Amino acid sequence: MQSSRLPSHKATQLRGTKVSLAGADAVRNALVRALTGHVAALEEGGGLTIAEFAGLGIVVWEVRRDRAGTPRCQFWPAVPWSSLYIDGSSPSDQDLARLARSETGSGLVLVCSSPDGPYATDAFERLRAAHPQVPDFHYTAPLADVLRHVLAHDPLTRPYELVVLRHTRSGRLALEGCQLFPHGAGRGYRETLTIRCEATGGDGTVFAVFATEKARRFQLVSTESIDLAAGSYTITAELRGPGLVRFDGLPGPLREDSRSWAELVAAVPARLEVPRPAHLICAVEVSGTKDQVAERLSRIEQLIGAVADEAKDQTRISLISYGPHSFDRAVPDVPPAVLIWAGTSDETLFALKRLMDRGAVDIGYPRAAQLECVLGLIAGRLDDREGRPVVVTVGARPPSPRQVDPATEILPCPYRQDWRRAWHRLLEFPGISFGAIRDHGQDEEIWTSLGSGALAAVNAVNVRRFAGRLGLLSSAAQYVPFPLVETEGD
Amino acid sequence: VASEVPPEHGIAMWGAPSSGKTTFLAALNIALTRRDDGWKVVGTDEASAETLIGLTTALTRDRTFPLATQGIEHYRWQLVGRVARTIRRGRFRRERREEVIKIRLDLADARGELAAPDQASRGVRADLIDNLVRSRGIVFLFDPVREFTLGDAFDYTYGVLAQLAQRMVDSPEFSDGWLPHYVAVCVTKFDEIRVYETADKLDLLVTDLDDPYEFPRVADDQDARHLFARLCEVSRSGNADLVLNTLEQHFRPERIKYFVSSAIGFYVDPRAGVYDPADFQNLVPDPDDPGRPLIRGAVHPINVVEPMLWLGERLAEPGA
Repeated sequence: MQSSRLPSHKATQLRGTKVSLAGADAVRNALVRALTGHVAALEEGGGLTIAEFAGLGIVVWEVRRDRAGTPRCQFWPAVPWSSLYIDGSSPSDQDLARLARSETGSGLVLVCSSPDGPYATDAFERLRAAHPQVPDFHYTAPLADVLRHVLAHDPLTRPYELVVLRHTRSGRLALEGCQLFPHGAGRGYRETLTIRCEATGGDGTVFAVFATEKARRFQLVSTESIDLAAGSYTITAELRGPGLVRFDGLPGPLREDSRSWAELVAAVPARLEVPRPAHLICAVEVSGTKDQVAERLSRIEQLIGAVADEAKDQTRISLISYGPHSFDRAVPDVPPAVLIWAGTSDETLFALKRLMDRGAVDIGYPRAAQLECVLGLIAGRLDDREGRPVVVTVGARPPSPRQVDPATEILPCPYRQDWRRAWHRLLEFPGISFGAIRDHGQDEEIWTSLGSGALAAVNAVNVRRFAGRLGLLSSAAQYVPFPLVETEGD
Repeated sequence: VASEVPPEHGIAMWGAPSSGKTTFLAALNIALTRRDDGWKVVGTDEASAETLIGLTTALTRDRTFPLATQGIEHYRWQLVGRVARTIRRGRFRRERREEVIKIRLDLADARGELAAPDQASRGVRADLIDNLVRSRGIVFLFDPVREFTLGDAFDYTYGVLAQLAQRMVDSPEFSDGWLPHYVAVCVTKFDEIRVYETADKLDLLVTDLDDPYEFPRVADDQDARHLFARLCEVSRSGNADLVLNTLEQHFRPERIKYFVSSAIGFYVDPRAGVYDPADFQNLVPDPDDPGRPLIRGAVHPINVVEPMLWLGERLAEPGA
């Protein structure tokens, strides 16, 4: 059987009335009370059927709750009398019962909206006689209006909450629900709350409402968003009916957001990077072709430039160049070079310019570079006085292993440095983050680790976004999809 | 006193193309020079002497592997050394004295063996069989890395041995059905990770306390054979086990000895001066041509001299 949503008022204008206005109001009120009671009693899986005996035929309406507890109504197109009363014969009681869906086990209400129609009256009376316990009404005004009214005033069967982000004690962002409406709240219920929103650069702050259950299961009710300027907002949420929440206090209307829940959750950053002093350590591999090295250095220059534009006074910068170990007896091994340590952006750009003039070093041992020594060097030299460390590595090759590696057959580091050990030492620095810009190579474990905060290809990196993800710029560059709330005790 | 092993009883070096015969020869020269015990390789003519210098220089100075030399089978070298012999003096006296012996050294190349039987191939093949018929000692080189990637050792072995047997079928030395040669089977490229790891997993590695570099070795003949058999299991063609069987079917078991060798040996960090199991690879890619290996450190041949001396001593025995 074909089904569709609740019809518009015009689509259901098919009835006349013979009762007085006062009488009509009384019938309407009785019908509303009956339907309200039935809808309120609906549980998940249950349904309410309203069989309407209209001028053109039998129309069946069905109300069920969705998984969020919101009552939803649908109706089936009228089964015309002309298909039931043929050549003077009338349908059987069983046929009428089947058409009215009176045997489905759902609650049933009978409504005759065409008391002057002989077929409607006949069918209505026969079903009423068959189901004497079922409430029945003669109501000639549009039934859809009554149903809309009933559904809109149905009190919530589950509390509604707004999805927000909260800072945990460790500084991470946690998704939480902030209650808007309790169980039993009805249309017009209002709740005022203060939220903080970050600028979203066009992606929009998402106002996602969900219905909760005791077992903390939740179902999304609505997902809407609006592009807001960063700041605090005192908003009022008003329950317009089950599944309908209106937010006042925002500078414009919310629009429906088509992103999936998984997408939105994935966009939540691990922590909110508020601008605070950072120590950007750039390690750049200078082995490779001339063009490769020039492009890597160019990305470093852009990154430093972006940081200098926004957080010049809050960021110290170090620059390290490295290449391959020498395994040639005739060529001494040159360790990674610290070109500048915790300098200003101007000092670092000057050092970078000299490195650019020097260009690529000899290709040397082509299968690895001194990444393990670079990490060891940083771990040994770093302290937290210069700010939160942000290590950005730009290169391609894997590190030399600590010892013979049968899998890769890459020659071991002459100094037996172990990149994993150095990596774990670095992780002990509070707030440290890692970014990597790579121009080629396989998915080695080290590059996944070095790019754990931000990973980009050298020819397709958006340095502002890259820096934003590492918390190097103001938080404006960081997308925070949901409103933030502060909770007592934090 | 000098004696020369009969010219028809030399040592032939045999192995598939690119199995490392010329490198082995150069490494032999280096290793003998290091030992300083009187054994040496000499060229019997000017061209052979110069070629030997070139091969050795490539390994030591240029850190490269000698290129397969065109017509290498036409050069002539001799392994010259001293062996102790017991001489009978009269009815009861026996005297032990040193004798200088000279053993012809041939590089028998199997190139062209599988190619179409054109004139050039037939010539090379005939030279190879001639060398083997004339010799009584064979250094058979088995390259496990080549076998893993190409798997052609059996192809280069079986036909040659069948033809050798056919050529010697009427010889009195073949009357018992065995070919009369002594065979030193050398499993090469011990320094390569895959070979080393296999030996290590089989628990075959030992270290000689008298070795100043403390290099690992597969010292025992039977352990070497065990490693050879295990390496045959990863042959690309799956036929490498037939190499072992074919050799043992044609030569007397007591005249076959197995060695695990490396022409360049393991890397030794000059600062440490001893072998380091954490860093032993002695090959590095050439920066200008990463597909081409260069030798990383000093060359320390392993089990290159030993098979030669074993063969030399056997051939110097009366009646060999």
